[in-house]
Amino acid sequence: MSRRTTVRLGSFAAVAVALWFLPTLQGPIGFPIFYLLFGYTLLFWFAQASSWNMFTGYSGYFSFGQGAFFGVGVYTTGVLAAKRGWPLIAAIPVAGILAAALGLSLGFVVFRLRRLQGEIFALVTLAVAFVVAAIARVSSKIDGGSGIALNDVQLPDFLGTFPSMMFRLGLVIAVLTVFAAATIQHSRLGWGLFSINDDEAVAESLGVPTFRHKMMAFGMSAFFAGLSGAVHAIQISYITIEDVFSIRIPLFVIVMSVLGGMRHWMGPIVGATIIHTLTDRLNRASDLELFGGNVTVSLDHLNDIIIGLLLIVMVLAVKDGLWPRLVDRKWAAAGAFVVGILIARIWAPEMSPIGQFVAGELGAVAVLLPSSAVIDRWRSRGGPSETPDEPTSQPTVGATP
Amino acid sequence: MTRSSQSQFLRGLILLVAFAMIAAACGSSTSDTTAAASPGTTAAPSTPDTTAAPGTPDTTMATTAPSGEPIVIGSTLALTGFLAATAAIHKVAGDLFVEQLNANGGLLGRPVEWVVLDDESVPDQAAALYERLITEDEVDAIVGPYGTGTITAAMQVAERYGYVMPQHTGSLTYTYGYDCQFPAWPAGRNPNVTNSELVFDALESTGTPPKTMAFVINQFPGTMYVAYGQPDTDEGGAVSIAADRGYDVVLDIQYPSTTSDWGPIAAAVRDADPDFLFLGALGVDGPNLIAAMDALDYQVPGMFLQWPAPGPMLGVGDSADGAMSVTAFEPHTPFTDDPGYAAIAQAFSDAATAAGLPYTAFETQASASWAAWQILVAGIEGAGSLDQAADCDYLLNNTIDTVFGPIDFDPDQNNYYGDL
Repeated sequence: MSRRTTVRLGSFAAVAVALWFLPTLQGPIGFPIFYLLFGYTLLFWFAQASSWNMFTGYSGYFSFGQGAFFGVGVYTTGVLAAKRGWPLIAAIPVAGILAAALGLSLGFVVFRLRRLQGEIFALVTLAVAFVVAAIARVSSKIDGGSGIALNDVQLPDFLGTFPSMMFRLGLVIAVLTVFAAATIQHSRLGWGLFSINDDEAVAESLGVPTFRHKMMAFGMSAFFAGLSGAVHAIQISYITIEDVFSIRIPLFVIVMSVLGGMRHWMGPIVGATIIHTLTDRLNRASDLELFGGNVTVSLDHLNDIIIGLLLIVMVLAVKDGLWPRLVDRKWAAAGAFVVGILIARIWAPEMSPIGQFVAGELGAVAVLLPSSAVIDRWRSRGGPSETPDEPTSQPTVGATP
Repeated sequence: MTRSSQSQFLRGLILLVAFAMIAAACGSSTSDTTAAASPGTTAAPSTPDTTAAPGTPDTTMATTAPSGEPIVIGSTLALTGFLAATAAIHKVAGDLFVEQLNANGGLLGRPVEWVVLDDESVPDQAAALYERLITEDEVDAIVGPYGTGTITAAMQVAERYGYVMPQHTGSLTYTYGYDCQFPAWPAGRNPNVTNSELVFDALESTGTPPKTMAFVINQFPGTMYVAYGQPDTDEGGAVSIAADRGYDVVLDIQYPSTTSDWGPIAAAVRDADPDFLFLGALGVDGPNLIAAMDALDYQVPGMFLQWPAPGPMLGVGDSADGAMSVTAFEPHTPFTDDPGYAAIAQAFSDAATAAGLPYTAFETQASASWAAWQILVAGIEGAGSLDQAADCDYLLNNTIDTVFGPIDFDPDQNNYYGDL
């Protein structure tokens, strides 16, 4: 194990251990239980977006298969834990293995056929989700169309109360997934995937084992999506074909990864944080009271419009995702983040900590939106000296770690 | 796909999603005619209402205005999505109940505030919102959502935190082992048997029952349960009961809840040409299928619809002749023999008219909603507190008066009663 990998492993372990004990502070500190569930959902999106990005973001093969892998994970818990009485803890790894088996089976076929690249690959992966959903619907052993209630699942009591348990399970899976994504990015596998992304034919001619690299990444992507889905089944409480295999999961992970940036493991983390916190607070904000309640802004029915408009602005303005710009403008973003929080505290003192975080987040995003050309023009008028808009250490074809 | 074209594809996809979100939001904001949309609240009115709801405890407090901190009751409803047409009825009924409750002294002498969030007809969303209502908003009590899927999901959350959950119309009865969930409508413990037997008994009572029968079933958990029985055990189910009774089942197909193209289904029914169509329908499935059959110049002699939104069927016209459904309450005798219930039915009709609902009668959905609120109030007033365990105990150990008559809840029957 290289020194860099050891440091990364230590960092992830430290973060995981620190967060593991967060639920035990809920009582002494007195923060609402909801924060643990909010944290779980955020961790769930970290795992889903990171697992999707470790294949599609790195290799460029556009996959809609996330819905199928997630669905396999959810229904593994439904069938094994709810119908057959397995403990949840035992069902989770099986879910990952089954999802990985599906991914590897699919990959074994499609990666061997050159004509299944590009948009055709995306359509094939989309079709797989429909096929898996149809199998679950017609089989009464799986669902049969009636859905599965998960009220009798044996939960791991040693992980604490329900919110604590969900948070800790979500934490373990998110840390494993993000660690895997970070490790892949900096490994020979990751560099091979980036070379496939840039030009697969050239990569092959230079000796990159493209088939093996794609199989490994696709299998791991499916594995972590399945693990995460297995835990999320408990949060859903009652699983139905329509909800589990809907287009929501694949679309959200795509939006999160593209928004954050797909060529770095931190991209999905940034994107998931922005999308989840923003949608959560906007969906709550029926009436936003400002200036001590003197001004009330009603956001009924405007939530999706606001989120949609923000997405349009961000996607049009930020080509390679927010993460490269965040690296470039970290101090400006940090300042804007603090200013956003201060403004929120002054204008709406009753705003929850999550709401204040979103306010700071929007401030930081506002700093990141202007293109490098705009920043360069500003700098040419006396601002700080020029720095590249995104990291210059992008791997090149044929490069080795 | 080169990196450049992949990037363009992704950006295009996200823009498409963003525009779709905006379009959907615009659509939902214009189609939702309820007064308090998602999320919204219904607060105490300023004037007392003398048409107090029977079953609403302590109506003698009509002249005493509620005071103190409001009691916050949380719930979700399918204000958007495929169940929205029916959920709108529950919204009007709940608003009216809370209004009358506050006009008659409130709950435990305090005003009541109803917080309603939009679960978009999605169980996943309902579970998350109930989790939030309980753990973040810390509401004092909850009422169930509308729709079997969302009810089933919300019930797991209620059980997790020990909340009493009266629910309107949950039909996946075999899964509801939580003692503190209280179904309002008289669906019975085994609607997978009793419901279809009721329909077939009615057909046979005419003396000229149909010989051939077609089953077209929405892939919704409740309708699937009634049509095919309990999964794994295959116990009951309208299709097998029909075969056992000697009907010739000439068609048995299912369709997704999100179906929008009804042409192929209508063609299948026309080709089977049954004497009777058993449509496991929700919301506006019935009018949609009838319209598609009209387009084929075909009409079935008789039709049963499981749980339709009642209003849209009125607009179908002559093509709906012969259509029937189940009901638990209608605004006429003997249901309205009690003048209090007659007054409620009239008040609901007025409120539904004002809200712009297409069907304003106080029937199954509205009455089930009303009964759920009556159960909630009876538990809190009876126990004299907002303690969930005490409220649950009171409801389990006392006869509860509702618009459907007195109810004794029996956990051995998963608290279901009646035989609808």
